[in-house]
Amino acid sequence: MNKYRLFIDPEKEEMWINKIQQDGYRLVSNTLDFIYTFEETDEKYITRTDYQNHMSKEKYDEYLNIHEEFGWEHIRGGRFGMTQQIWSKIEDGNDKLFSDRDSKINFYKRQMNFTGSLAFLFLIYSFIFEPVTGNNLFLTSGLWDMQGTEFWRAFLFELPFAIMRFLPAILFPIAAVLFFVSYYKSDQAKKALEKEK
Amino acid sequence: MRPKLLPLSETMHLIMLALRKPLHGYAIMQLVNEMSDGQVSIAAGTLYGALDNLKKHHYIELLSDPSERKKVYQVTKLGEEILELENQRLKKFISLYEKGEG
Repeated sequence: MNKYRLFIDPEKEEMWINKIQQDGYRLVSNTLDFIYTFEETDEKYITRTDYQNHMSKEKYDEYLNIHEEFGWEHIRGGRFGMTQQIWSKIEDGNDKLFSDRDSKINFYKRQMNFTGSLAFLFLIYSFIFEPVTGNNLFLTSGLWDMQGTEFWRAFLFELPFAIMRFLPAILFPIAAVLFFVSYYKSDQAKKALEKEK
Repeated sequence: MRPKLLPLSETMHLIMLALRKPLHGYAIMQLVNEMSDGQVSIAAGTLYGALDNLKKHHYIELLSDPSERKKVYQVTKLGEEILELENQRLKKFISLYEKGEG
C-alpha cells in the first residue's frame, strides 16, 4: 500500500507512520520524501526518525552497524545529511533512539540545524521568486482587451503558465514558514530538556 | 584545565568502564546494563553519539578493520588515564562522604 504525504515536521512524520503501523502495517520504504510504502504484518513495528550531518564513509558504517545491532532496520537516509534517517524495529520495550537527556538535546540541535537551514534557504528563494502580479502574470499581449471566446481561449491557454509563474512565489514562503515553525518546536523541546538539567 | 568531557556523564563513564575490554555495540549495552544493575539501558542513537564523541577525543578507538561489518571498540592509553583521573575524583568524594560534615 502506498501513501503520499509530504512532511515538514519530522515529529509529525514519526507520529503519522506509527499510527498507521498500529493498524497492522509496517513501513518498508520511503522514496523521494513523499512516497511511503507499507505492507501488512502481524508484528508490531515502531519507527523513529533521526537526523545526522554529513558523515564519512567509516562513520556512516558505524552509524548503521550500531543501530542494526540493536535491531533497527534502516528505512531511509544517507550519509550526506540531505534527509532524515528513518529507523524501524519490532517493538521490544527498548524502542527509543535516545536514552539520556544529553543525547536527546544533541538530537534536537542537529534537527534544528537541518530545519533552520531549509527555512533560510526557502526564505531566500522567496525573495528570488518575488510574486509576479497583475499584468505580468499573463504575457499574451492584448489579452485583457480580447472579448468572448477569443479571450477565453487565450486565457485558458496561458493559465497553466501563469500558475507556474505564480506558484513558487506562494509555495516558497509557505515552506519557509513551516520549516521555521518546526525549528521553533524543536527549540522549545530542547529548552524544556535543558531546564531539567 | 580539566581534560575534555570531565567529569564524565553517567552514560559515557559506564561505556568507558565497559570498554576496558574490547566489545561491539550491542555487547557494550548489555554490559552497561549489567554493571548498573539494570538501571542504565543505553539506546542505539545514544550509544552511537557517545562512541563518536569518545573517539573524537581519542579516549577510545575502533579496533576492528573499517571494512569489517562488526565494529569493536576499546579504551586507549589516554582513555585509561582519564578513567584513573575519574577514579581519584570519586575516591575523594567517597572520603568526603565518610568523614561526614566538616
